[in-house]
Amino acid sequence: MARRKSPGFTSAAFAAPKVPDYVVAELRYDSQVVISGARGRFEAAPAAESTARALNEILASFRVKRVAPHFGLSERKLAARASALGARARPTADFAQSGVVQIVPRDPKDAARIAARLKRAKAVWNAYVAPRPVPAVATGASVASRNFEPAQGYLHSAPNGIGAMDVWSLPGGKGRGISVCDIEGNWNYTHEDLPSGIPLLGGTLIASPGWKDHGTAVLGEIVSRPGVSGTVGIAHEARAMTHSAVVGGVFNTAAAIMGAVARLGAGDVILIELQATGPNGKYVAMQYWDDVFSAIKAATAKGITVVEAAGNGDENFELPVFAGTGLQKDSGAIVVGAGIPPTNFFDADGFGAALPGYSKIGVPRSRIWFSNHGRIVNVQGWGWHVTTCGYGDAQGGAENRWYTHRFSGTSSASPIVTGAVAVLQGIAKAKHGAPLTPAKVRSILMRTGTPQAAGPGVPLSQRIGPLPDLVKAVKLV
Amino acid sequence: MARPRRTPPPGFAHATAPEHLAPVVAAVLAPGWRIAAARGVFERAGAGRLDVAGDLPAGSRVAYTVPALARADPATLGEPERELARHVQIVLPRGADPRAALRRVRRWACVERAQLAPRPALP
Repeated sequence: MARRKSPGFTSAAFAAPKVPDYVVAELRYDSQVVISGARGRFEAAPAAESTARALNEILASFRVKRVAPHFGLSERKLAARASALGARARPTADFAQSGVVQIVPRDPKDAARIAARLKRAKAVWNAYVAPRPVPAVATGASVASRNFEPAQGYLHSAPNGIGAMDVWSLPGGKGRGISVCDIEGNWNYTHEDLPSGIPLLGGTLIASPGWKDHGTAVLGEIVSRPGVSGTVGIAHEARAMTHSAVVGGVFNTAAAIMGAVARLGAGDVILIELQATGPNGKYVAMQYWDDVFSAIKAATAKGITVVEAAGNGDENFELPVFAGTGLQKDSGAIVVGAGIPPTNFFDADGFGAALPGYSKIGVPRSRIWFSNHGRIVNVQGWGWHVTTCGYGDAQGGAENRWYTHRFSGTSSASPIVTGAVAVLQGIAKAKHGAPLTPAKVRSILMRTGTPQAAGPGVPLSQRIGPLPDLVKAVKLV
Repeated sequence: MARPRRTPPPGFAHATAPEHLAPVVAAVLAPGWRIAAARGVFERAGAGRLDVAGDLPAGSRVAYTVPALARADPATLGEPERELARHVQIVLPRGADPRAALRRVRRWACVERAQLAPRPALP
């Protein structure tokens, strides 16, 4: 039996099994094509016959030993795929599996070429040479976490992301020299991907897994460490700090803000990751309360940019009930709404059974249905599908290695903007030796961002503002 | 038997406020008033004192929202800080009805305005 060296970490050489290389092709859900295991070919209704023919022509250009359903489904189940196509129902497991096809070439060297050809075909979502698994070796902590950076679409270029990666190469572009203080209730300070030594400036931690995961996820978006595993924060050279909103045994957000102000300076950033129930029984932004409003004004007057979640109450801040309150006045904060991300679909297991699985949410960059809106809402961030630290749905195991693909709400949106602010201020300090004023930062982000989109039931009049675009923003620094 | 009326949820939250934290009424003192050293007493130079201890449930306490600002020389504070220095918290014992307390607080001569303090949730 042939032996080869492992391409990765393992304690010993392993025996390569005598299994030929083969290709796995995954058909698109809407491809209108089915695989016939019995006939070993792709088939389709007359309307999509050309699509099936294109796939069969690819196979015909190679010496193929076998074409078969990858999951060994019966012909009856494979045929059922045809009738399910276009039904727009939630896909069943059989439907999903019926689109996965196994192609075994006679010459193993053809596997990569077949995969490459199929991958370019319209009907194929993905095609790849099947991996050759090796036994998992118990290696404990020496096994690194997965790299989640590719899933952090918010880092990418506009219009989908905020262009953080595009400006990291600029001096100060990773937020160096800027401190960011997150105000909420708890954090996992020992998470593997967060910088060590993040201080708790004041207040009492809320002993709750939900609060702890939330704070961890927020910090992950902003300052998680770069590397080949885990996530990477938008402003990962900024210095993170935390302050609990529980001060003196009660919630006291104003005191928490002023506690942070005492430790920060001009150019630094405070993030308010809280919401509370307003007069209509819906969640509103914290500046509705007079003391919080005054505290934000005091912070911005000292040159500290305050970023504030608009809240998830589906509330309209323009209603007469809010006249004269902080929801219709300028506190100086950057108030952040939640927009629909470009991924644009619900997960089957996302947010309870009340939501349909794998259906579209709406138009990217339009207001997500729960986000508050109004004239004081300045900019938006992704309100769904934010990959960051914590929660453990993307990677479980030990708590310090938890990651999520599903952080959401104005909670996930606000750290995106906070990171953008830290990046801008880092660049401003590096370029001019001084930061921008909070008003200037807000103005730049609003003027240069990718515009809000309208969607069914969410017109532009329900303002959440644009998604920051750092590539354009840095030109005004 | 009538069904209890259901309040619609206020929106989407990742976590809500812990139940064990005490309810609070947030108030702004009228100009010139401040918290006196004696428990449950407010005072104003030249205008005497107002004892509210009997008007609150046993175990209540009154404190400045940001004590450091209340102690500071007003001349060293900016306008928003001077405004914030007038804010006080009336912290009620667990289980007390904050709405009833709010009604009473709004009648105090030393209070310019008052509202229920927020119980934050995570957005």
